[in-house]
Amino acid sequence: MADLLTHVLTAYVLAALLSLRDDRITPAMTTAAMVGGLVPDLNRLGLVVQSSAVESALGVPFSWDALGTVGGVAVALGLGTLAVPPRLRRRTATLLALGVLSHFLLDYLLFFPSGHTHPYLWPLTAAGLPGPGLYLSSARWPAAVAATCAALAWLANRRQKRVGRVSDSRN
Amino acid sequence: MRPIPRRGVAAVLLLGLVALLVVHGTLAPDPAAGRFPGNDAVAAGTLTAGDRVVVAGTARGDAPAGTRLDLDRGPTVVVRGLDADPGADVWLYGTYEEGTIRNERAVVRAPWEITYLYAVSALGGLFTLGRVVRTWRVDTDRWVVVPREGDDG
Repeated sequence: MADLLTHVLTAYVLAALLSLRDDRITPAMTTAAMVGGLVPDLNRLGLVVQSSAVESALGVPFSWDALGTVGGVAVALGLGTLAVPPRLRRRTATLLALGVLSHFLLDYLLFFPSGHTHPYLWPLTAAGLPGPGLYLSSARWPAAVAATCAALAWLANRRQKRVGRVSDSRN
Repeated sequence: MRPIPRRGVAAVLLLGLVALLVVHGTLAPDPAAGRFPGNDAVAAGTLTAGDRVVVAGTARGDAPAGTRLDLDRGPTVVVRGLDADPGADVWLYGTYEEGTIRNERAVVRAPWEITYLYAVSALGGLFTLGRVVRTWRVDTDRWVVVPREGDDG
C-alpha cells in the first residue's frame, strides 16, 4: 500500500475534477470515492486483530488480506452500495469503484523486494504481478504530490461554485 | 420491477465476504506465482536450503556471519550481505541457506519512516471519516445512509 493519505487524496482529486463537469458528483459522492480509496486497506484490521488470532478463535483458515484483493473489495463495495437508497446506488457504486481502482493502480506501482506485488487480482489469479517498483509506501513525495493536486482541485471547485453563484444571481 | 430484498442480498454478500476471508487464508506460498514463504515459514522451520524467502524484521547489529535480524513475530536469523544499522526496519528478498538468509534485495528503513507511514495513514483515515460525517448521515427510519445535501437526501 501507498500511505492511506495518498490514496484518499488521489480519490478526492479524481472525484473533485469529475465534479467540475458532472453535477451528479456532489460533495457526498466525492466522499464515496475517498471511502473507495480506503477500502482495500481495510486488511489493516489485521493490525488490531491478527489473522492468526481469528484463525485460532474460529478454528478455520483466515486472512484479512482478502480485503485487499479485487474479490474482497467487490463484495465490500456491494455491501456499501446496499447502504444507500436505491436511486443513489449506481452513482455511489461508480464513485466507490473509482476510489478502489485508483488505490489498486497506485499499489501496483509500489516497490516489492521480490519484484512481485501482492496478489491483488485474487480470486481472478492468485499470482503476485511483476510490478515496476516505483516507490515505497513510506516515501514522502507521494503524499506531497497528492496534497498539492488536492489543493488545486479544491480551489478549482470553489472557483466554479462562486462563478455558478454569480450567474445564478444574474438570472 | 419488484424491489430487491435488501436484507437477503446483504446476508449473501456478508457470507461471501466471510468465505473469501477464509479461502484467502488457505493460500500457501508459491514461488512460481510470486508468493514467497515468509516469517511464518522461517519460524516453522519448514524451509530447505535454496528456498527463496521474503522476510521482515528489525536489524539487531552484526553477527560473525552477517547481520542479526529479529523477524516480526518470529525468531532471530542471521542475514548475509545486508547493511543495516541496529534498530533499522528491514524487508528483504533472499535465499534461505541452513539457518541463515542470503540477502538479494532489501528495503532498509529508519524507524521514523515507518512511524511516518502510520501517522500519515491515520491522518488519511481521519480526514475521510470527517468528510463522511460531514456529507452523509444515517436515516434511522429506513436504515440507510443518505447524503446531507438537501436536494439529494
